Formats: sequence, structure tokens, C-alpha cells
Amino acid sequence: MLAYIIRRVAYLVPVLLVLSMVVFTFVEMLPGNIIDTLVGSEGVNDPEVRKVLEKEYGLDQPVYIRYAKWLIRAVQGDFGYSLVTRRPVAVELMSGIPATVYLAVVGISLSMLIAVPLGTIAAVRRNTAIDYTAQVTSLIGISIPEFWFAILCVLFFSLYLGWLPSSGFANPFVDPWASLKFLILPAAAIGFRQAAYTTRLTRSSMLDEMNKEYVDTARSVGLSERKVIFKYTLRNAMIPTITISGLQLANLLGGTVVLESIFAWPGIGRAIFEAILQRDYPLVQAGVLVLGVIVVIMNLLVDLTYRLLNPRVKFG
Amino acid sequence: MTEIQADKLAELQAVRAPALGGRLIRWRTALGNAWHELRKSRTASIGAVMLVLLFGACIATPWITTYDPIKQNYRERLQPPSEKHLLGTDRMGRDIYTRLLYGGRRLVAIALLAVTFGLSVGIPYGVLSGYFGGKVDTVAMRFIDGLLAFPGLLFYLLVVTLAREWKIEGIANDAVLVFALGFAFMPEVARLSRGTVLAEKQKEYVEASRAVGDGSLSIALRQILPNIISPLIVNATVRLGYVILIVAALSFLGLGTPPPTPDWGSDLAAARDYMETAPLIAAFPGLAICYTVLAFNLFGDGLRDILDPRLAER
Amino acid sequence: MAETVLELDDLTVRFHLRRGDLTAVDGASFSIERGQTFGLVGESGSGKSVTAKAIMRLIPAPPGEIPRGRVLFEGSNILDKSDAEMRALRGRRIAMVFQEPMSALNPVFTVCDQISDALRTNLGLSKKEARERVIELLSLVGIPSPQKRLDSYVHEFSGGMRQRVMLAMALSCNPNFLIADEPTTALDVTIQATILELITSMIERLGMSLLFITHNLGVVAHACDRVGVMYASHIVELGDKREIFARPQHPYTVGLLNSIPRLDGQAKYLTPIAGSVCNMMDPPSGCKFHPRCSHAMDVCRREIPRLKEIAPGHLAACHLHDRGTA
Repeated sequence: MLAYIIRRVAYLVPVLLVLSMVVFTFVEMLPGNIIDTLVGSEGVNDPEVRKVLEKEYGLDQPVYIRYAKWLIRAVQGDFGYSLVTRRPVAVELMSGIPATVYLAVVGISLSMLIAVPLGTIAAVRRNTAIDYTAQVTSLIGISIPEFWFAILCVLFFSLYLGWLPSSGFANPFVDPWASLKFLILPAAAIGFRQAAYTTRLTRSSMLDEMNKEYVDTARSVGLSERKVIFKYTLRNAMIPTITISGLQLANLLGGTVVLESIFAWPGIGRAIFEAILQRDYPLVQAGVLVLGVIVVIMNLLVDLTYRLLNPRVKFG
Repeated sequence: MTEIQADKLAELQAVRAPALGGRLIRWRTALGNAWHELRKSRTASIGAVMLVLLFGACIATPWITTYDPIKQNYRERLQPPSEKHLLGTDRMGRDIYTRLLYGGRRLVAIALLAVTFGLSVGIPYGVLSGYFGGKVDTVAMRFIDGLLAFPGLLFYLLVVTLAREWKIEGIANDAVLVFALGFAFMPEVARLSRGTVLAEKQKEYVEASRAVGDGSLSIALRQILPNIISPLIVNATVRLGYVILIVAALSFLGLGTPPPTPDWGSDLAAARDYMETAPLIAAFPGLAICYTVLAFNLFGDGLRDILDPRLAER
Repeated sequence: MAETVLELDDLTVRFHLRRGDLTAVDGASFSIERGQTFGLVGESGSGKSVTAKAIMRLIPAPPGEIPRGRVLFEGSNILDKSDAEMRALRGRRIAMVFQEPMSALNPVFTVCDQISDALRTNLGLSKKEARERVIELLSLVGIPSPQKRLDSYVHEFSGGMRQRVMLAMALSCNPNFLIADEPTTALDVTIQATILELITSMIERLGMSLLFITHNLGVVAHACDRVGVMYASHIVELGDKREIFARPQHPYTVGLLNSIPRLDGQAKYLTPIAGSVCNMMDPPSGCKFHPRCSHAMDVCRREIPRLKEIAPGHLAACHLHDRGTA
């Protein structure tokens, strides 16, 4: 198994290289360069000053050397300085990542708590009222734009009922109760769509498994229906469900941008978004790179989990 | 391609030409059958009806709307639905119904173009990668994995920012969006195509074909391509809905379409400020998005049910 | 003393599918005595597997339905039993071996897990006791080094071994009736004989009765006491094995026997049965075999023949035998 892990990690390297190249190219393709931003609109267009600055920022060197230098520094965690706050980008990122992870994890956990039982029941009680309800609701759930759902929630629970705050954040370690209040709406917005998706997935996996012969075998040996469904069938159906949910979680890390800006949630999505608005490109670059790396690593973890859960797939 | 292969291909094409006529006839009967097949699945039928309405509205927009979607009319701002304005007016006095239809037209067009682009790049990429195998395949797939590493909206954010910096506007902006969306769809298409090619390569009828003397390329085209169509059609349909969600999200953030172009996402964003006074303005664009995405999802679901024979008796 | 373990009386199983209704088993009747092996023979689609599943009550109720008939197991009609009563029967008194062990056993659980579950549910054994019993069972069915293979997964066994595991699971709770649904069909020819031997020796050793379902007459000849031939949902011939092989009374049975390639040089040509199996969604009128039967008469097109006793213990459903009776 270790050999497999090592091999998979080795495979990651080219993927990460492609990722970093794309991110680097992005900044390269911007019109103008950092010097312009630094120098400002008044235009201290003195060529002498520009040359000095260029040297300082290494802009006088060819592309591949700049890329290599940037990459080497990035690997060590040095992403340069934010053009806006003048603080190291790494610091800005570090403050944003936990908040996003917090939201994403809670959102997905909530969604699975609802979706797995619902999907299972829908599969077991096929073509009954509850199945149709589940199917229709989840179909609508994946068709609703997350941000619209979020706005509606705010409209209803915040403006109309006044039960929950419409935006904001509190550190759960400092003030858990307040944190919870701020967490509910954004987590629900994420969770709703995820739950819809996962319900469909669970239902279809269960249906697939329930048609298989080993279910009959289990019954033929006299096991109770409950055991047949929950111990045998569900366990099998969970493999694709958990795998795909893991991938969803990874994807979610980059997809919270919209919700974070609606709810003023200080996550990395919002940080990148604001950096874009403020033209703070070192931050954008670093943010996208870091998130990309996290996603790639998570994909690897999901793959390993899948192989652990499914004894048929060897570590080949 | 070597000379020998080119010769063989020309030879096959000469023989194939009359067969094309036959193929057209087969296509027509296939379409006729398709309609019959479609009615088998309730979800597909409902989805199809919804889509027909949608496309119909998109095409007929100039004739079924009376107002100008961009012209502002401050005397009639924030009106609730009435006889004069079917769905009311927005904060600049523009007729919401008109804006919705023009916005939809643009969004659906972008989605169709993007998905088509993704398919036309992804299918050859995947098929060739799977067909050649070996190092070519490995490198090609690593590249795809690299592209897939961009979670959520991040890739689009980068592209859109670039467009903004380069001051790209109007149609060119939409073109950039189409390109980015299509490009992001390409990996999924390539993976699917490649997977099918790999699976089919193993199968016996490929061996049989070869034994009878068919050239490899014709095997690829004739035997393998039809097998790719089913899963791809389903994926493409669902992707259409997803693309619309993305474009709307980007516009919502203010990064997609600059005003005053009608766009469901940016209309929603603008409506946020008026949620307390005129909440309906936020309702309609959202409903429009829901309807459209739902239509594509229903149709895609139904197609999946129809095309997958395993599910025939569920 | 012959005691009837299983008796089927006019069992009919129908499925309501999207494309229409399908009667998979129509009026099946036969009985099996204690210690007997009964072979149910037929082509794919004849309804034999459905019969087996109906006996175990594994037919899914929404598309499937049992509109009439009785299945008397040890005297009581299992079709009348409650779910709980049925569950108590399964494994403990009736067990089943399926055709494809790779799909019939759960790929995600170890062999020990699956068999232990059966043991603990039916016999109330503790985890430890169950584990030991599993080792016993595995060696009983001839799996070498059972202690080591205990925690293996199904896919880690070879085809023949998997079938042995399947058998071990079926026998684990000491049932007195075993249904084997084409247990050797999916195996290599060389392994088939071994597994067949294993099953028959187990049956004899444990004093069980066996319902053996197959399409292979050779297997029947070897392993069964009585034979029932099924065609298109009907039992068309029923009787003692030797009787049937020596004096087949139904044209289908005759056709089956004639189409076996023989190595003793007696037949020059293979004579397959003309035509193909009828479409069960739209079966022919009257006797379902009549389109393929060289002896078909007018009455065959109109009436479905009933099973009639031709000789003591030997029944056939064919109008050819009507002529004798009034």
C-alpha cells in the first residue's frame, strides 16, 4: 500500500506543475505589471525608477526564471506581499482558510445527515409518496442557484422573522453560541444543494445495489430485512456516495466564493474575491494555487479512502 | 498518418460514400424512433416540453416583448406586476419580463456555445488519447488532471479578471466566457471519451473487425464513436444547466456581464438592495434560473433513463 | 418411509412489467420426499429459477405476484406465512445456493463475516463460536487452510472455491432442504464435476432433500432421483429419472435428449429442436410448445395440456396421450 501511495504522490507532481503554470501565466497575461500598480496612476514614469524597481522585482529576467523563482518561493510558503495590506500573503491566506473549511465541513456534514437516510428510504420505498417527494425535492434542489437560495433564506429568516443575523462571523472557539447563529444560514445554503445532490446519489447507488444478487442471498439465509438493507446493501452503496461526497467537499472549497460574499464570511473565497476587486494579484495568485493544491491532495485522500473501503480494488 | 494509412482511408471513404445516403435514412428513422422513445420516460417528456418552451421563448423574444430591456424609465421604477408590466419593473424602471427574456436568450446561447465548444475539443482529445495509449495518453491525462484541479469558480474568476483587465467588452466578453466555460467542460468530456475508447478497444468486435481487415482508424470511427454518444449527451445536457448557474453566479458577483446588459445573475445582485421594499424583483430572475436549470436536469435525467437499458424496468 | 418435504400445488407466478404482464410459472405442481434429489430441468426463461425463488419467497412483491397455488413445506403453506415466520424458515430449514457466487456473495464483507451473520442470526452463536463453526464449515466443503482463508474476501477465491463458500453458507444452519439454482453453470467444466460431487455427498451425509435446478441433462442424470422438465412456465414432464431418460413422453423432453451430443457414435447428426423459445410476453395459444413440435395437432393449438399420469409416477402434459383416455 505504501508503494501505491508513493506512486500516487509522484503522479501529483506534474499535476501540480500544470496548476502552478496556469496560475503563474494568469498574472503574466495581465496587461501592465506590478510596477504600474506600485507606481500608481500619477505615473512616476521616470525610466530610471522603473529600471530600479524592475530589478528589485526581478522583472528584468526571462519568464522561465521568474517562474522557477516564484515556484521555489511558493513551495516554501513565501507568496510575496499583499499589494493592499502590505502583509505577507501567507498570513492573509492562513486567516481565511480555517473559516472556509469550517463552513464547508459543517455544510457537507449537515447535508449527509439528511441526504443519506432520505436517499436510502427513497430507494427502499421505491415509487411511494416519500420516494416521489424526495426525488422532486432533490431535483429542484440541484436546480436552485445557491446564491438565490441564500438570499431567500436571508429574506425570510433574517429580514422577515428576525431570528438569525443576515451576515457575519464569530469564532466558534471564542463564542460558540454566536458562532452558531452566524453559521446556520450559510451552512444551510451550502447544505441544501449538497443534500439534494447526495440524496439523488444515495438513492441511485442503493437502487443499483438492491438489485444485486447478494441481497437475495442475505435474505435467503434468514437475515432480517433491516439487517439486509442497513448492514449489507448500504455499506456497498456508501462507497460511491462517500467517494463522490469527498470530491464534492474538495470542490466546495473553491465554490464558496459567492456565499462567503453574501454572508460576509471571512473565508478564503471572499479573500480572493476582494483581492480581485482590489487588483491585489499576488494574493489572488497565491490563493488559487493553495486551494488548487488542497484540492489535489484531497482527491488523493478520496482515492485512498475508496480503495480502503472497496476491497475489490487493489492498490495496483 | 503514414502514406499507407492515408491510402487505405481514401479507399474506405470511396467505398463509404454511397453508404452515407443509407446512413442519412437511418438517421431519420432514428430521430423518428427517438420521439417515440422519449415519450417512454415521464421526466424526459416534461423536460422536453419545458425546453421547447424555453427555446421557443428565446427565439421569439423580439416578437413577444414590447419594451426595450436597457432603456431606463425612472418614472416607473419598482412597480409591482401589472397589466402594463407583466412582472413589474426594476430599480431603473425597466420591464422585468423583457429583461428576463433577453437575458435568457443570451444565457442559453452562451451555454449552448460553451458546451458545444467543450465537446468539440474534448471528444477528439479523449478519443485520440485513449486510442494511442502509452506515453501520449499519460501526458494528456496529467494535463487534464491539472485543469481539473481548479475547484469551483476559481478558474472562471481568473479568466474573467483577465478579461476585465484587458478591457474586453460586449460580445468579446461573452466570447471569453464561452471559451472559459467550454474549456472547463473539456476535461470531463475527454475523460468520458477516453474511457469509452479504452473499454471498447478491449472488446471482441474490435478484434473481429481487425481480423476482417478493417483499418484501425475506421474501427475507431465506426465502432467506438456511437458508444460515446449516450453518456455524452446526458452529460452535455446536465452541463448546460450547470453552465447557466456558473454564469449567473459570476454575474451575481459583478464579474460576468457589465451592466446594463440584461443578465439574470446581475439582476439578482441588484435586487438585493431592494429586498425589503420590493422583494419580488429578486424572485423572478431566480425563478427563471430555476426553471431553466430544472428543464435541463429533467431532460438529462430522462435521457439517462432511456439510454441506459439496464434501467428499463425500474 | 416417504415423507413429503416439499409440495408445489398449482403454483403460479406473474410479473407486472411496464411492457405488459408475464406469467413466469404457470400451474407448477410436483413434490419432493425426504432424502430425495429432484432435478428441475429447462432452458433459460423456462421459469425454473423463478420457481426456486418463489419457494424461498424471494420474489419481489411489487412487480411479482403469486395469484394462485400453494407451496407446502413440511405440511404448511409458506405462502400464508408472515414475514417473520418465513425468515425463521430461511437458513434454518430451507437454504439456497445461487448460480454466480461472485455476484451472490457480498464483495465488501469477508467470508467469515457473511457466514457468521447467518450463524449468529439463526443459531444465536457468539462471535467466537461462530468463527469456529465457520472454520468447521469451510473444511467441510473442502476449502484448504480454512483458518487462513477465513478473513479473505470473495474475490480472493477462485471460481470453484467461491461456490464452496456459497455452499458452506447455505449449509451453515443445518437446513433439511437445499435448493441449488444452477450451481455449476458458471464454473469450468473440470470444476463442475467436483462441486457436483461435493453437493451430492453433503446431501447424503446430512440427510437433506435437494431441489436441483439446471439446464444440463448430464448433471441430472448423475445427481437426481426424480426429474421435472419445464418449458415456458409449465411443467411438461415429471417422473423418475430412469423412466424419463428411457421412455420420454413429451416431445420437448425427447428433443432435449436427442440434442445431446453423444460420444458413443450412435447418432450421426445433432438434432436440435426446431424454432426457438417462445416470447413469454406474447406466448402461443394452447400448448406453448406446439410451434416447435413435429407432432402438433389441432387440439394443441387450442388447449393447454394438463399433466396426466402415463405410467405409475410418470406424468406428462401432452395431448398425444389424450387419445387413450375417453
